[in-house]
Amino acid sequence: MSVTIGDIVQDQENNKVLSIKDLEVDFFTARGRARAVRGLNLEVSRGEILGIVGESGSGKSVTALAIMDLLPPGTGRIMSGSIIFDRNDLAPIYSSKYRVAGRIGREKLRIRRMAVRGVEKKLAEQKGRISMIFQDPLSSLDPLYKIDSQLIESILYNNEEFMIGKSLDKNDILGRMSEFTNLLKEKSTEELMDWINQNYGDGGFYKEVFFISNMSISESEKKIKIRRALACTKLLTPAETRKLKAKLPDATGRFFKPNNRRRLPIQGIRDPIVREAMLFSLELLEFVGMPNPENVLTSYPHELSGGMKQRVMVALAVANSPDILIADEPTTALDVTTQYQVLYLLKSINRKLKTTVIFITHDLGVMAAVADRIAVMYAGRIVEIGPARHFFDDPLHPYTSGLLKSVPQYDERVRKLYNIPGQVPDIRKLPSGCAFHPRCERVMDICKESDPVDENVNERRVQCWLYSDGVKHGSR
Amino acid sequence: MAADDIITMTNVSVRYELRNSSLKRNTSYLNALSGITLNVRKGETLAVVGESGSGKSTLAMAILGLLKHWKGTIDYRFRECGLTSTEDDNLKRGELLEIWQRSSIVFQDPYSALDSKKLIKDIIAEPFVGHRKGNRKRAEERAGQLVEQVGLTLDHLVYYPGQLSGGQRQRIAVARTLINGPELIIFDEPTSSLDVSIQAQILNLILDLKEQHNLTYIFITHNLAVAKHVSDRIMVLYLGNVMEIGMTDSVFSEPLHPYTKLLISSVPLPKSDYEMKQRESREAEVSSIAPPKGCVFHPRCPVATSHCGWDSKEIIQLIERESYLRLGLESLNADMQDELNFTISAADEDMAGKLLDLIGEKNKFRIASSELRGSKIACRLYVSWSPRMVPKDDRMVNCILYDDEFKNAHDIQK
Ligand SMILES: Nc1ncnc2c1ncn2[C@@H]1O[C@H](COP(=O)(O)OP(=O)(O)OP(=O)(O)O)[C@@H](O)[C@H]1O
Ligand SMILES: Nc1ncnc2c1ncn2[C@@H]1O[C@H](COP(=O)(O)OP(=O)(O)OP(=O)(O)O)[C@@H](O)[C@H]1O
Ligand code: SF4
Ligand code: SF4
Ligand SMILES: [Mg+2]
Ligand SMILES: [Mg+2]
Repeated sequence: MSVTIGDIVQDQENNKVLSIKDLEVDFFTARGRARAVRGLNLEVSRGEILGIVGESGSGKSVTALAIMDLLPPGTGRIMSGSIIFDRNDLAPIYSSKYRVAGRIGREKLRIRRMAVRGVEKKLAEQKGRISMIFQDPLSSLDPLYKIDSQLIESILYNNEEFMIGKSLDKNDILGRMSEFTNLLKEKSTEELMDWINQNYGDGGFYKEVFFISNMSISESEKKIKIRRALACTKLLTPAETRKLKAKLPDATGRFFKPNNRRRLPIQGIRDPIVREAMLFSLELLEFVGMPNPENVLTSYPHELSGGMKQRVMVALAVANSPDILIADEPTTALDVTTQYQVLYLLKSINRKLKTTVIFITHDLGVMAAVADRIAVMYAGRIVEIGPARHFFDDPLHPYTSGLLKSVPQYDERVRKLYNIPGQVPDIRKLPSGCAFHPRCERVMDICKESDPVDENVNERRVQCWLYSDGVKHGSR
Repeated sequence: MAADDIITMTNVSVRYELRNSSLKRNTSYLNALSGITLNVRKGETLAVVGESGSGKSTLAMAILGLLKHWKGTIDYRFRECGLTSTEDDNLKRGELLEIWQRSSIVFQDPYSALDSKKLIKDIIAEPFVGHRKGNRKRAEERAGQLVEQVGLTLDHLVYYPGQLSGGQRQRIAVARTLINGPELIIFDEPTSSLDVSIQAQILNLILDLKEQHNLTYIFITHNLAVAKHVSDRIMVLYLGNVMEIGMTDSVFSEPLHPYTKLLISSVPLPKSDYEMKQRESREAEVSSIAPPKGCVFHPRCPVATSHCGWDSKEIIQLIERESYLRLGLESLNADMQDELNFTISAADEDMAGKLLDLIGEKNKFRIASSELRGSKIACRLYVSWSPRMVPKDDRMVNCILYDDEFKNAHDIQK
């Protein structure tokens, strides 16, 4: 299915920050083709926490990696479908890229770290960004660099404009902005574009305004959007941008000398940009609730406990204030007390910074703690999706209710736990019809033959023949 | 030792030697368990919970006689065999075999616990042959019976571990422990690497087998919901110390120890009305190499009293941080006389006054006296009480808040 401009506009208006349509991801392995994601449909609204649950191998991580363009090169490939993020369909961009197979080791580490920096680098004109927190923090922190270098690298990489702006004369910048705001009232969008081009060149902000001016919305709505865009940019002349960019470090290692000072790591740093970045990383660590941020900045990853590493990861991931934060089982390796704090942190990032969060876990308790909406994955598909309260109180899909019944409960003590018979199918040899049918208690004849399709039940969506009108009537 | 106890541990301490470099000079020690006293009753399931590194696995190893360096006494009262093991009188080889025959263990990781080059039947029969209890044929017969008892088929006997799923492997690990007809089985996180639906299958199997074979279980886990589901009694470990031990139902309905409270309230419940609350969280780096003095939990305890083990170093650090955040001081000139006395020197009297206010405000309850002498502030801390296990209602708690002796002394001091 191809994506039309109409779809994209529709998504914008429905406040969808990300929408995935009919996504198919295959792995080509020695043992055959594995269909890890089979026609996945998912819409994420701005500002929500969407939880994805499912058992091991159901395709949760693969979905996340596909969004991030981090599928293992060579073996994993997006076969079809679209990933629409901020007006762009990412899927064709990802799959068109030529990728070298079989690079491992440090290269893999580097790729993972790229993830933290956001997809934005690859799609330079895009304003919004996506970043990801992995289950194992060590795989995304570089063991050779201290935390400060890694944080600063990430901040400078992502927030060039922010940092550049910070190190310029504030009043000057404010002056430029208020001048522009005044113009915004009088001039038409066309005129504004000319003005920006003349004064500040055809950089990022020009492109942003160009984009907005081409949208099919009313003039006043356009101006509101331009105003918003102004808030996250700095009006810089091409010369200024060049000059300041030259100052940015290209390799962190060269830039930072070992800093053994225990307190106030910014002492002795002359470069205003790095000083700002260092202060900002301190703020970030404070924000994620690090007990001793000054000490942590000058530590190596291996010197930190699991919870602290995970918090550094969160700090790295929010450094560039992403639009979407994907957290893949961020707390599975942590103790419950630490898990509680990391969960609380992610939840407050979502509420305070309005960051959209996609939270992957197989722990239903964790899901209850954070998610606004919950999607259940089984064998590469979303079999049920809807508001969190319905998920727990009134599950629709037989797999969902099975999952809920099989977790030990705190308040009531049952002698015997319910268990879903059998096990998760091998995705290389999927059963016919509904992939869940060999394990399903309510299986019907039709389930063995044909794949169930999505059915809407109020504000929820479920993929099961039990909810298909035709079948329900037919079976009566 | 009560007649119905199968294991009694008295004052068991375990420490590991850490060699920092290839040079043997700087060895340091890690206290994995400090002075554990515990009894395991015949026929019960005792859950052992605690964070990673709290010493749960070490406890299992101590019971199975697998540790070289330890202190204390462990009494074993199996049906036909009573044994006592102390640090100087370590078990002989023959006695160890007795113990391994009557007790066995299931490990966490179903992937590495089974030898991947052996057939399932050999894996199950291995402890049997190892204990020289019969010939190969009888061992294989027994393996056949067991594999069916754990819900697999005879076909699985000629599989290799690599051909089985995680849940099936864990079934094999359970079958293997049963081969010698044990009385005690220790489960070390048997389900933490499994999916919920498979976890439910294994938990059901474990509980069924207990009834069929009249077993006693020690169930180690960090999943509190699982602990609650399987156990009769529960023991909470923190940094190698028992914090609380009691009947599972009452510990969960009314936890007494501040750590148990923190632990239980940290578990998110799979309910639609579950909500996270902001909570007074104190964080501190703690290590078992240099465990905190006094109560090991005091750096993180939300209700710690001034007698819980604070020392000058900790308090100076707290003040340092607070003065940096609130007064913008980039460094604090502090002089530590001993564990309980220290002096802070300020740049001038004005700053000294501000610091005194700050100390009074933030750390009041930890400092016995703070006195302004010119631009210096002399501080003294309270002498700490070491908590001990005290009975409270139906259980034992390791916290001075429940120690009447402390309460009386504390009142007198006031
Ligand atoms: N690099 C790879 N090569 C081949 N197959 C892969 C690869 N990565 C994942 N898969 C397959 O894709 C399927 C989905 O895997 P995925 O990692 O998304 O599962 P998951 O839902 O994240 O599970 P878990 O809870 O264990 O993390 C699995 O069957 C897995 O075997
Ligand atoms: N062989 C060893 N040598 C040195 N230190 C050890 C050794 N085994 C364990 N330790 C340390 O002893 C402490 C207790 O370890 P133990 O394995 O008993 O913890 P645990 O409660 O089982 O943790 P987990 O939940 O992670 O399994 C830990 O700090 C650990 O690092
Ligand atoms: S479609 Fe049929 S087999 Fe699949 S979950 Fe629904 S009832 Fe069960
Ligand atoms: S003794 Fe009790 S009150 Fe004091 S720190 Fe320990 S747990 Fe907290
Ligand atoms: Mg995964
Ligand atoms: Mg362990």
